[in-house]
Amino acid sequence: MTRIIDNKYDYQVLHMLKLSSYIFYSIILSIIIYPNSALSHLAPLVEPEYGQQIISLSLIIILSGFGFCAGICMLYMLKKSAYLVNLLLFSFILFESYHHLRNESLLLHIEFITLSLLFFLLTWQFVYFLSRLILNNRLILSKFFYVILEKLDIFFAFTKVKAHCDIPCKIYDPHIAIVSALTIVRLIDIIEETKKNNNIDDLNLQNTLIRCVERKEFESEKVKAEIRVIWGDYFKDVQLEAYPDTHNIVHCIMMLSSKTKQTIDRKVALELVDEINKFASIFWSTKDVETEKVISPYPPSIEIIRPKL
Amino acid sequence: MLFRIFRVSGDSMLPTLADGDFVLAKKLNENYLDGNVVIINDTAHGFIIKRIKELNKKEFAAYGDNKDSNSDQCFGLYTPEDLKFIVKWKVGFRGISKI
Repeated sequence: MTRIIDNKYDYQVLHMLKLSSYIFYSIILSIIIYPNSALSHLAPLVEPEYGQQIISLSLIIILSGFGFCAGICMLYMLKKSAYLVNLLLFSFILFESYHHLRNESLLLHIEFITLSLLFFLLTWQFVYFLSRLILNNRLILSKFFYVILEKLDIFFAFTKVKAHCDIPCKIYDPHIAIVSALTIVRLIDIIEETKKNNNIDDLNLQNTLIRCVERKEFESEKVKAEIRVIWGDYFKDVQLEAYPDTHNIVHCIMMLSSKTKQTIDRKVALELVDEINKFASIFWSTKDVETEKVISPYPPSIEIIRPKL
Repeated sequence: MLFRIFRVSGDSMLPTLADGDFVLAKKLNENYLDGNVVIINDTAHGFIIKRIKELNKKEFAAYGDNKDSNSDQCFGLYTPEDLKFIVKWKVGFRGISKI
């Protein structure tokens, strides 16, 4: 036996054996009782001489109810309640069997007690079996509910509740957009320098051009994303009321960013830097942080706004 | 409807609620208990799910369980009328639990 219950699988086998034994005992008991002459009453009243049923459906329900209550009480370790249920059950069985004994035979009386206890114990064991089944498979069951809800979601489309956050939160800084805008200016400068080269058909130069254009596209999109996040997530009514130009500036940044993708016009890129500087100035003002204008210490060496920290 | 099922979208309520979890929420018409997870009808974001902090009887701050979540300052303050549902149960991939 020690070897059998070594792992979880063996425990399940053991439980199955236990359950099989219950079923086996029930069948044996039925075989013993059923051919009995008195038990022929179990059949519905076909002929009056066969008498009444030993145990009616309503009694089965009552006994199963007792069994269920006793099972639950035992599961939750409610000792007093379990004693009470058992006491009530035995009183009930004795009361009913006394009627049988008085009105019918002793055999019927014994059969009634046996069957009553059998139903009671079967329900009790069924509660145990059910609880064990749920506990052993609770993970599978919970997943089952989740899967069911997922399928229902396809048809009923449950309302979505947003629990979004920007990571890392509270860290908003337009400097990333400024750096991207400066990069665009610098890339346009590189493209212009490459264009001036006489040997434009050189594959290396073409490679440089393509890389610059590709990077320019990326940086323009980055400008848009950075500004959009600050505008959409950080700016609230209070800030917008204090700085009503914000919407126009943001819209202008979006338009200019798109234009820097379409052209290699340096003026457009410089306008973009100017607009982002305006936006940065407003942003730091909302946080009561003083700003200053400085020339970027790297190419393209143009004026940018940065906080005085 | 007294009870409604919602689906969570986002990670701001981690570890309590994960992205894709389902929640069973009860219509809020009772006392607003401080620290409960509620569903708020936000004018800018629509339905959002947050834990509330009762500042006074007329004002509530909302915040996420995730430390990386937006701060309550980002979301502003809410009135009792904005709080629509109180979350009671969650059904996630890892199980069912009471909130």
